[in-house]
Amino acid sequence: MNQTINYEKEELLYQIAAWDFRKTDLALFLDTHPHDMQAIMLFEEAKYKSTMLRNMYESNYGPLVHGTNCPNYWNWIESPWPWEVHR
Amino acid sequence: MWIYEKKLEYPIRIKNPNPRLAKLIITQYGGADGELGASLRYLSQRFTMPDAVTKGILNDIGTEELAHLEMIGSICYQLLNCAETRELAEEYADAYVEHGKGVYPQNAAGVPFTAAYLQSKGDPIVDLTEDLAAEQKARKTYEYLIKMCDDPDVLDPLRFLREREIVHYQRFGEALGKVQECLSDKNKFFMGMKKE
Repeated sequence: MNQTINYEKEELLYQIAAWDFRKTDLALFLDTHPHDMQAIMLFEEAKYKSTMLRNMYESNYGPLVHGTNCPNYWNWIESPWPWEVHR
Repeated sequence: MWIYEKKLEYPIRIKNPNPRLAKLIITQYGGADGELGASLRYLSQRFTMPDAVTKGILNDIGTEELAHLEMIGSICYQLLNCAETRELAEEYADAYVEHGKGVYPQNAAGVPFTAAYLQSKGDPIVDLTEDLAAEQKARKTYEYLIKMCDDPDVLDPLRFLREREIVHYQRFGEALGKVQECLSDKNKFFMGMKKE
């Protein structure tokens, strides 16, 4: 089940992963520093960027969570899954 | 509860099969200091944490460890998926006869995962102290794996995972500090007793 690489798709997913990771790292920081306003603002920025990029990705390439942009069949199950090999 | 997102926390794109590396890296899937142990430890300990900060951090780091578990599984899958029989026979025969190219929770020596690798003692000082140790052990394991690894596609995610252990250690230290602040002044050895 090797997929041919769609570079635009991969690049967009990479950007989403980067902004989502920023959210995750800030969330952990905020768990132990809940009143840090600067961190909260950075989190909001990352959330905004992530949401915009996700909407772009999902409308072109399929869902990242159940049911977004579901056409007339359950495309959630389509490859590639995150662990699949790209050649 | 958990929602699944159809992406990895950090991308993994391995071009070359390598059963030798798969055998080593699986240790962070099912080994004593691996991501499965870490997720179960933190997600079990979170129930008996005393306050918002500790519940939050145990919950959230535990969740991130599940994402890391997925990354390690993906690395091992990609290292094995296109491997030829000759390569498997050379470096991976024992694991292959048990599991084929399947991903199974075991350590580098083939020992299956056990909950004996973790503790959840119901006491925040005990649990957070264990968590600090766990993150250091995981960090060191990644350092040893990095030393054994010669493939840049694999080194990249290993380095990311190693750095995350250091950050987690930092967060657990902060959480432990907060718990210690709430202890009775009489309790100079910071055992798990509530403020009177």
